[in-house]
Amino acid sequence: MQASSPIKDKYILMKKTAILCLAFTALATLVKAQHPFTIDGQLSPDKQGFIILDYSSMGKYTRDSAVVTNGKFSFKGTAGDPLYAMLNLNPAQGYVASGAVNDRIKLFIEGNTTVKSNAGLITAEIKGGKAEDDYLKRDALYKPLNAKLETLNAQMRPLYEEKNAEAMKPIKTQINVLLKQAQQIDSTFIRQNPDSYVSFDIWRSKHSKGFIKSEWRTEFERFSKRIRNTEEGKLMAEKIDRANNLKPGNIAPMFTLKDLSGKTVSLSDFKGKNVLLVLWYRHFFPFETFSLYLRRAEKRLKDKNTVIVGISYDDDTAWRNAATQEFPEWVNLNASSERTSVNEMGAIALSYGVYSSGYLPAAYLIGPDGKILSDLINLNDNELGLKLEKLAK
Amino acid sequence: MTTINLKSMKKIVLMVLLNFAAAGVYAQTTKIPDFPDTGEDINTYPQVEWLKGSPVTAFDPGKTYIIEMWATWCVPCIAAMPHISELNAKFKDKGVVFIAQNVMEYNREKVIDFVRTKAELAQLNVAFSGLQNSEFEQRWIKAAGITAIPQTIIIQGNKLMWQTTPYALNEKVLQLLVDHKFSIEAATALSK
Repeated sequence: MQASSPIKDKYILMKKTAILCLAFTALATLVKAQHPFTIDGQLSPDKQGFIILDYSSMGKYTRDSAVVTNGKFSFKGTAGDPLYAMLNLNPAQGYVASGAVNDRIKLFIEGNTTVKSNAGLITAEIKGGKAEDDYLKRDALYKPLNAKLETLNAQMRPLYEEKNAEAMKPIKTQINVLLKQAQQIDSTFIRQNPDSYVSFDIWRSKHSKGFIKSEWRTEFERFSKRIRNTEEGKLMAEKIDRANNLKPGNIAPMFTLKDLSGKTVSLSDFKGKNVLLVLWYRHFFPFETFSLYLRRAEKRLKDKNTVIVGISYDDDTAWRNAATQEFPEWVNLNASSERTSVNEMGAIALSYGVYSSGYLPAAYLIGPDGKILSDLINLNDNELGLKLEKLAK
Repeated sequence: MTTINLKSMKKIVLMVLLNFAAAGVYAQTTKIPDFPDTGEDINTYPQVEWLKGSPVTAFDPGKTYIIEMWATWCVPCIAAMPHISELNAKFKDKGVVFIAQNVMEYNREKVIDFVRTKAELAQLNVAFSGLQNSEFEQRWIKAAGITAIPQTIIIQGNKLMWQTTPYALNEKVLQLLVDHKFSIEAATALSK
């Protein structure tokens, strides 16, 4: 039997974990349409080792690996949507010296893909589905910009080392111009290619920060029906609908949870009162500021027929400590048990458009009739109390 | 007339906030009373080291105080100084006292050197807050939940009027204060 090198063992182990991950993903997305994909590669015959394949799909990250023998490798898998992925040939392990270049390439996987090169991955020619064609189209638009950017970066490096801020300024200005041009290229590309998954992926990545807004619907609906019916498309449609249903005037989503004493509490218990609903947890910065602003808000809301209901996502002990110390006057509830590996924040958070802990803290003001009075509230605002005071009925 | 690029400044403020996030590990252990909310009483100024101008220990109910928090490392704070200096020149004889309060740094010599060379600070009252956990840091910075500068606090008639930024200040807003017609709504409308 041939002894395998330790590096190989490591990758074989990795492959197994990747398969496990895939299995979990498959379970979670059982109802969702899955399509098989393959990647067949032929690099220069002197290439040996491993190729790592990384991608994220529906919020789940997956890593797979394949052996490269005489430049040949292949991957197989299934995916719902086209996958924006990266192939990486023999990636460096541990500490990587600065300036080291990884032999890797980004691509869109959809159906059968071939990777051909008479050298490594960087110069490989990729043929795949429509998504890859579109990706190459967009890449070509980027090419002149990237060339300019490279020149500017080369000019910038020595100045950065010298800390020559004055000389860096005009170069930074030029870089900013290029970045603006890149944005322009993207928005034109999106407009001209409504039936492209790449368009949708770029659009989605530009909307990945902060809360989902119902105002995105107009832009979203410019995409073709085929794109809107992809897995990510359906998910986005669902989130936009939800954001729309959370606008002022809509009935606030129901919830029933236990308070600090174990008593069951529902939103409907507070009919006739304003409810400031705060979804929160203890460990973020600046918590002290958040807590101060909410103490102030509490004072201002005291005579405004308002209860503050806090839903914590901390574990039981952390919640009890923080709630009793910081917000003893609140109705303190906990929803940490709702969190699962499939639904990061649980059903209640989801119903309020809170999709990950990065969205916390989040708050809404709900009127005595159970209807939402505010858009999602910016809590990091020293005039929070003043604003809530005006909104409360 | 100095123009201030507000947009780029806001970006820098955010950066400052992130910088300061690292300092968040020095969490407060003993509970300090909250800094007053808008409209609440505020009578005294914490003990600080006055580097320039006339010391303020208790607020004169007949005067308006504009407390501008800054640091030598805070680029947008320094960029706002000419603006503050101009407003000081126009309003110092109308019962408005400007205080350039150095915060969030502890190298006294560095601050003193900076103050000596900065022409925009020449006509202002300038104070150094002191070393770590100084009274100012405890009772104002931490108690007010201030995590980023520049930050401006306005006090009039021994009441906290507004906690804002130097970008929100202009002659019209200052005139509102002088005329005793100040409200956050009116000031916000005028500062746009």
